[in-house]
Amino acid sequence: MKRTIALVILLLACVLVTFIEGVNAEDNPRHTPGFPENLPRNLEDLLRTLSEALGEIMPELAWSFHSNATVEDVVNSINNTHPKTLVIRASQDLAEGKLTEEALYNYLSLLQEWYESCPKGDVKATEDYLLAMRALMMISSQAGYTDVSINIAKQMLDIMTNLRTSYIEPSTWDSQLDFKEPIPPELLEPFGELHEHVELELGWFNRIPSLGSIPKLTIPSLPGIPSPLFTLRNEHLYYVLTFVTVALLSVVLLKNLGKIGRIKLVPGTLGGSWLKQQRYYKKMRLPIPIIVYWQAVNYVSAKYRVPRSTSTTHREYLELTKSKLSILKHELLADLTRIYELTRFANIVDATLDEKALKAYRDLVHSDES
Amino acid sequence: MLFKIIEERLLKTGIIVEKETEAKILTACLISRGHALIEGVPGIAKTTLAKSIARLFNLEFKRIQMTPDLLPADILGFYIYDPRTGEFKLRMGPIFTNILLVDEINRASPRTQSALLEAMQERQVTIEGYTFKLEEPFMVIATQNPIEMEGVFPLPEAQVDRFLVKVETGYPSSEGFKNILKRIDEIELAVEEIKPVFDKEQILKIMEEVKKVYVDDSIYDYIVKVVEETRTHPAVKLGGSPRAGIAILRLSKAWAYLEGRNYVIPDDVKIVAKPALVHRIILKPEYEVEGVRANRVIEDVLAKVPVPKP
Repeated sequence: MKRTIALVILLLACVLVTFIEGVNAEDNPRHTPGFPENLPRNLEDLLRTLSEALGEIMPELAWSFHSNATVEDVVNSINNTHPKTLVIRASQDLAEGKLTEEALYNYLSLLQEWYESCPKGDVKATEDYLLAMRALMMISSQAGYTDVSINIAKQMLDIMTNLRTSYIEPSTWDSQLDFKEPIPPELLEPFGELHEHVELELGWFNRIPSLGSIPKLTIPSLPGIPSPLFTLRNEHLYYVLTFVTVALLSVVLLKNLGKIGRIKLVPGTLGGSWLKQQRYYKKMRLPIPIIVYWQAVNYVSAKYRVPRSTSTTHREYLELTKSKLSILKHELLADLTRIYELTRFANIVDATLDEKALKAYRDLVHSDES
Repeated sequence: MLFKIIEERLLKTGIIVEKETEAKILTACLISRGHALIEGVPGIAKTTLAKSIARLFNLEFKRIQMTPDLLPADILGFYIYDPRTGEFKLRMGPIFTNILLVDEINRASPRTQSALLEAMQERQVTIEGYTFKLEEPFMVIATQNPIEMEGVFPLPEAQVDRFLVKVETGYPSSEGFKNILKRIDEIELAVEEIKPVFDKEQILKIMEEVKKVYVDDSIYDYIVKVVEETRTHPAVKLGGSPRAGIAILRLSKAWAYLEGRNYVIPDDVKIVAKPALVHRIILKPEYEVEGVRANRVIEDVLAKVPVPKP
């Protein structure tokens, strides 16, 4: 017992020192140091999933989501001059500290105007348009305009979903990807190897998951540690401290998990980390409705405080949420549950079910945010 | 769909009052080729329920009132000498039917009880060395009174295990009781006048369809875990056997079919686990004395075993 307390104190001390170190090194005054980025993670997850699905026809787009690319990197990958110029102007405004919310929306509308003027079905223009939006999303996030970045993410999500579901210029698209067939599992994996690598290197520190692993939106769990925007002077100290912190955290967790004994690291239950979930999904090669359903369960559990125990069935859980959710949201969750049931227990694989599940999930989350 | 018809004909017309679950379990038991044990005090419409279901499916129905002096031959049948032909002629017992109601089964002697064993398990009877196949569908619905202790012969474990389900039924609510009193003459007449909605061939076809209901691999795992967990519960002396698992699987398929699905979900398993396991779990005496019941043990088990994930 005493040893555990000592370990926890030591751990807290290390976290505090690392935290202060990170705060001192933080360059961006608008971003609250020590807290994760405000852009909802599940939106980003969905964007990643969709960008992977579109990866074959838009390699640049998939790349921009699966690496630690900076705004400059993304801008460099844009081919058309107009979107490139717009993003460069936004970057300059940010550097000079005169970037406003209105200006961002203005750049966004100029970008939309440009895209509308492009010929329909132009893959290159679509790719550049989405890349420019991605860059603007990163800029607005850096500038602290979370609402703008969320809006851009939603718009991107809509565009990417439409691209994947619709038959825009079939002659152009069908040659590269047959939309009628189920998407190959490797394209549906929420995270590619490259992304996972980045997660381990940087992202993990940014988003230390809570034990519940569920909160991904506005509810901050444990205070995170800022990205390593450190000065050279403190570089070694930073790495040593983070290493010690992680080691101590692992020891404490293992010790306590060992005591509890029966906690299983399964998605949607206590004890399953976010990264563990993603690996689990990847390993299991799960269909979209199942992934989306569990994201929805995690979301509802965290947002409405309706925990789902390991012995609760999907129908029982739906019943549990009845009193907590509005009629509309409950209907959306009911749709998701029905689709999940068909995919999971009736072994029905159907692209339309994937789309319906994604739509229901998006509506569930959007109806909360609007 | 199937149960909707039963609901329309029996429950909504008031022939059976507040026995929806019991009727559904009995139907599930019938279409999964099982036998049912109904436990309840006398006068709570056990016979009416069995009779109504038999009539609805256009099945032959017979009833035996068990007494201590009843002999196996009284159930199975026997050979009798016919002086006109000079030959022994088979006089078939009441077991040669589709639905056999064995009233107060625990009043019969162990010898007579065991005569039912072969019929229930093998779906055949042996009389004087000759084996006779019983006509499908064949279902035994036995009843027993949980209160009486004297002059009864409790069913041995091997016999109890032959029943696919045990249904524990009780008194109706005050409102339901009043309803029965008001309409008693109509109910008696209505039972006799139930028009069949299915025939034997349709029932046999349904039985085949039930076998084809899809069961995901994770559901098999879930059933295995539930049955195994009954063996490790501290209050349990003897837990579920593989036959208990088979019972859960068959009933889950039947339940899914009655619900209009062609695949099983964990909810089906949870619903049927209680009637399929309750008579197969033997509790330790010290827990029994404290008032622990098999039902509670099953609830504990279901609350503990994780449902299939993700």
